[in-house]
Amino acid sequence: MNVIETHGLTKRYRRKLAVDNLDMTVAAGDIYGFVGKNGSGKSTTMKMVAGLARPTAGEVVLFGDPERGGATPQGFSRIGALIESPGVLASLTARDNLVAKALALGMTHAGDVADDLLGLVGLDPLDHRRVKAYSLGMKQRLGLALALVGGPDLLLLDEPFNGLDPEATRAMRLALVRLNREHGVTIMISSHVLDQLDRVATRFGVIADGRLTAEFTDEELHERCGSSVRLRLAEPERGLALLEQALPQATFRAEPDGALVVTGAALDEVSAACFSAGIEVRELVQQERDIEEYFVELMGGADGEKDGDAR
Amino acid sequence: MIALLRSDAYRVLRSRWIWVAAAIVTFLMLAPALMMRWTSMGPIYYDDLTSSALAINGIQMLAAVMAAIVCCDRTDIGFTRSILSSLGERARKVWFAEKCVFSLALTAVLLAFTFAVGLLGLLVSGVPVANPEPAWQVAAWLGCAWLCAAPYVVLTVLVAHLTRGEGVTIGFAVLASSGLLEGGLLIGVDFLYALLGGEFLTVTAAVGPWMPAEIASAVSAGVRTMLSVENAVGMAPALRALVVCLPLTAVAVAADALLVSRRDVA
Repeated sequence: MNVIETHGLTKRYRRKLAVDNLDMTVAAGDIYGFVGKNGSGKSTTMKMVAGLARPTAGEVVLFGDPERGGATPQGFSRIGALIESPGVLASLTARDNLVAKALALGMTHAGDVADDLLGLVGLDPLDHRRVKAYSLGMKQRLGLALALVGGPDLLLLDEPFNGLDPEATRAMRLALVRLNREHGVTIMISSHVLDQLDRVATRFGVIADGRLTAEFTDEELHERCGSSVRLRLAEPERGLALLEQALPQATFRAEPDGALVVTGAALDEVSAACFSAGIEVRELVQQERDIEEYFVELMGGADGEKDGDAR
Repeated sequence: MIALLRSDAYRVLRSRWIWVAAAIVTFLMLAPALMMRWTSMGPIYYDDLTSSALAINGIQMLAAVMAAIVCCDRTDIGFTRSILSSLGERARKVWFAEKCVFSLALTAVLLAFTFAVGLLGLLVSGVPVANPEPAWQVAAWLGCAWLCAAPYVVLTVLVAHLTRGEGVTIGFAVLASSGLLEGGLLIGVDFLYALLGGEFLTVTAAVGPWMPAEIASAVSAGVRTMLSVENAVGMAPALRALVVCLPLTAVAVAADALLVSRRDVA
């Protein structure tokens, strides 16, 4: 089942088109990494998914229920969100923040719920300091705990790693993975911290200028970002057909500039296959592409769309 | 609604500002009484409870400012997002209405607290009340005072949800509840009317008694004035409060729940 489906989702703020005809799918159990530059439309998309902003056009279907957005009969949505800021009441303690939200959702034993969640995110339930005395990392963790009140089935996290030190980042990452694996929570995370995102996400969506330029799985990402062979052929179409026969285990991707990128085969294998098939080769080079470089390339704009199998 | 009210009550009771406000009200009500007690200065007796012994002037301003603080905590927009993202479409409308209801309930608590501390002050001062009104009249007086504060409180909540700015909302709360906005508006209309050849202050004279600030002023003058029909329009301020303040409050709550709730949260 798809937990999130957007169809032609569009948001316009006066003259600025923040999100443009976005079709996105997040399946149940995914940890969906949502990547894009500042101002690319990530937060606006997440706000529309969370119901905090109304789409100018298009629709968001949650939990396969276009009518009620998957809301419970009691009127609660199945979403927990941490969007833009940690969303805390700075003049209260962390526990009071959680109790206030638990009470708002009509939960009994709000105090117990608060204590459990504070433990889950690594904060001390007996800490009587007001939240304004907390570091940004602690506020982020409290924000996550607040998003978890009510046991949501979908968690929307906007830049959850912001301001976290390495230890806190690791703790946050592990907490997210645990929530996903042990509690089956589908998670959508937007983040600039690509190496952290790469460690948790199972699927990725890349947004540039409000448009989804690419969507791929973790495996596909690593296929594309590992070592590959780039070659330019005199007769690309014929050459591609012959190489596909000669190297059935390899994956081929046509680049916008006409070059062919082969993954899953070593340089000497490609070279030998070209020689045996009598293919005229004009360029043959081993290349390495790291994940950050790949994302930056995709975030660069509409170029990603030209990438043959990007979507 | 009940869950949201409980949550807001918890949030407010755990905040410092509410206790600071309570301390200020207590000080303002008890300090003069203590001075009277210790210095033996002040009146020999009060005529009655509502017009001289207990003062509730300015209660609507305090109530409106409290509503502004409740709805505009400088850092709570993220908390609001967190709550609203956990509510379904219909429950979000309820959330907006609940903010109005909670602010009105807080106003009632403020009035009751002020009244109780006022009575305590009266006991402390030792000044007798010559003709205390019957309980029903005092209750009606408090009810009318609440009704007069209600439009300001709800309009402040509306402004808070529209602007999401604490400064603007508190500014509106003070200007509106002090009657300055209404006065300014009437003077402006009068000025235009005079430019068109009419007599200056005609509009103020005709409409002024129907404005909430004027009604609130008459109500705070005590039960006798509140129930008297001997005034410019020949209708008791208590009745005018029902005719003017009740519909105004209902319209503002409806606008907040049905229209403002449709806006993007952030």
